[in-house]
Amino acid sequence: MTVGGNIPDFRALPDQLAAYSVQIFAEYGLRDPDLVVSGTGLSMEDFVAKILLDYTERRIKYDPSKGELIALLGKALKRDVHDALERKRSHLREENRDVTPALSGEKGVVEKALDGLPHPDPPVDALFDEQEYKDRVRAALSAEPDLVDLADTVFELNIYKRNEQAEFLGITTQELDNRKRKLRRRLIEYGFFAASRKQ
Amino acid sequence: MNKKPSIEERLSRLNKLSEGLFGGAEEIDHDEARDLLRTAGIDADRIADAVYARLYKRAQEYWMVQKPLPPLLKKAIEDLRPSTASPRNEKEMATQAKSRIERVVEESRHPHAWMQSTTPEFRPSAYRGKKKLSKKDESALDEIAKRLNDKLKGPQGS
Repeated sequence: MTVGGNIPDFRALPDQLAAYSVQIFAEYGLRDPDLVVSGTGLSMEDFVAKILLDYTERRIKYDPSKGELIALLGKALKRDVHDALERKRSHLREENRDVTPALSGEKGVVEKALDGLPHPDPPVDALFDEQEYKDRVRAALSAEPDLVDLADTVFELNIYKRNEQAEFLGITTQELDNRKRKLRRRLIEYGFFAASRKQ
Repeated sequence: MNKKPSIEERLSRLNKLSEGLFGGAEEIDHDEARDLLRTAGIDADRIADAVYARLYKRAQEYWMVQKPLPPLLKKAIEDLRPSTASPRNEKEMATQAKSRIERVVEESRHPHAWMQSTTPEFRPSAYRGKKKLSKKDESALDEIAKRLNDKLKGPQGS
């Protein structure tokens, strides 16, 4: 959303970016109740504020001919979350060098955050595992067959384009958009209710 | 033998799946964003205020060295000025009043989400059908009554 040429209306951006980061956290099974990537100390607010600062100070440059501003900022935000996850992974790798091999190989050993406290996130290598990712998403949608079908068009049939997905499922693109809205909601409900159940 | 994909390759693949299934940030409009944040039990106003505070802090650094604010930063600070900040003119006062009313109406439409976002002791439903109040209940209710009284006195005092 932009007003007066290329100057955007900033009022909706924090909400949209925050909601998008909640979705990303849920996709990766990150269940920290304060929405912090454990081991990095970076919170959802940090990610959103950094992206907006990068944009307002022109470290992120926006070209309106290449799509919506929110799309560009969303991509940058996701990249930052990925970077944080990679940092978390390498920190944990460093830490694990100090752990007795017999212990680290045992089942049921809880992965520790850098602050030494157990955290509820999945084991760090599972974060980047394609099958684990698919299983996490499917678990969130399991009660709704039409959403599982939608997930399978992407996961099993590699259909990524919106109009092709609608055609394959025999629905309109508007109905597809409604299903995607429902999908995002279910993912977040599942992610956050699962988190509260675990506490 | 298959080479194990690098982290970058794995992230790129996950990103492709994510974009294909959920779409990008542009597919979440403002109404849906508020709804998703509510679903996750997150107070959108708190996020907006925290983001504003970070941008304002950065703006102060420009002011300290007497450098002009980048136009986008200036616009962001104007747009994200919290509704709780003192109004600078009549127009702002009207805008703040409007958004406060909208928030109250919004909360009344989603009482369940509102109850979840309030502090645990402030759950009126917890007392529904309760015949006898414990000492703990009584002190929680006294505390709530005190807080409500303070809130009522607040605007007059300031």
